[in-house]
Amino acid sequence: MSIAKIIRHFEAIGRVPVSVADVLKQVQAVVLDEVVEVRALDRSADKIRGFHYRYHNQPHADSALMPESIAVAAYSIQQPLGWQRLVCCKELIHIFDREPICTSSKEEVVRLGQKLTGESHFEKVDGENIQWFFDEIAKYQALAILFPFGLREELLAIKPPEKHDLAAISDVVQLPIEMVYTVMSDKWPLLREGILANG
Amino acid sequence: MTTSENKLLSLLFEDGRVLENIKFFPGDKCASAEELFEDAHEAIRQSLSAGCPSVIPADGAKKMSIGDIVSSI
Repeated sequence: MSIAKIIRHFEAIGRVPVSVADVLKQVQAVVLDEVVEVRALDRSADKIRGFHYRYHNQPHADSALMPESIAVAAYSIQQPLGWQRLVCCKELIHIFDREPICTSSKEEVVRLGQKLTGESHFEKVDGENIQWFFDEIAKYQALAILFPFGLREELLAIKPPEKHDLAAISDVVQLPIEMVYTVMSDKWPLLREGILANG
Repeated sequence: MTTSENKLLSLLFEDGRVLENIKFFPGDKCASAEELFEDAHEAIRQSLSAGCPSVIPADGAKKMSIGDIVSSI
């Protein structure tokens, strides 16, 4: 329930923009036994906007201790700030991924890359694409954290979504306008409920 | 197996590190898995380098309460 708790935490505060630094604090409060590092990459976001990479070093043969996990949430700084915030938040919350949604074998890495770029022919509903599915869901989990639901409800209480200036909303929440459109759509409450129920 | 696939998998599995999880957020111009793997290899290498800054994205605007926003929009 960690991601749902973080979403609720920022909904209760009800102030925007939600700081990604505060999201990191919430994540670190849950995963006390893991190292979490954020990395700002000065490289193009054309091919990759960001990534999450969790690993541990191979234990020494004479050591009985299990080496600690290191999680890296990396994002390109060569993209608009709204995208940086969304991408960094999405990569941070992957720290809550556990088996079987982790991508940890060579075959899974290749299949994830193919699926993300539309090259995969694996369309069977037998769980082969579960790593890709949760990679996609994490975008919306990050969105639910950074765009408190109460703000959406208050805005829609004033006027319908088509009457709102989405660019102005994008400015106050500091998120890409495409994502503001998603939150203001009539499908968002259902998606958010699904995220909270499974988060 | 392609060259870029090989490079990425070598980085993830053969440098004394054990992969626990990897996820990507592809960019708008990533047209193939080959491109993704090539760029991922370079991006991960950069993130592991000692000089890579640990900087969190800024807020970008002054914080406001939902009530203040609703009255201003």
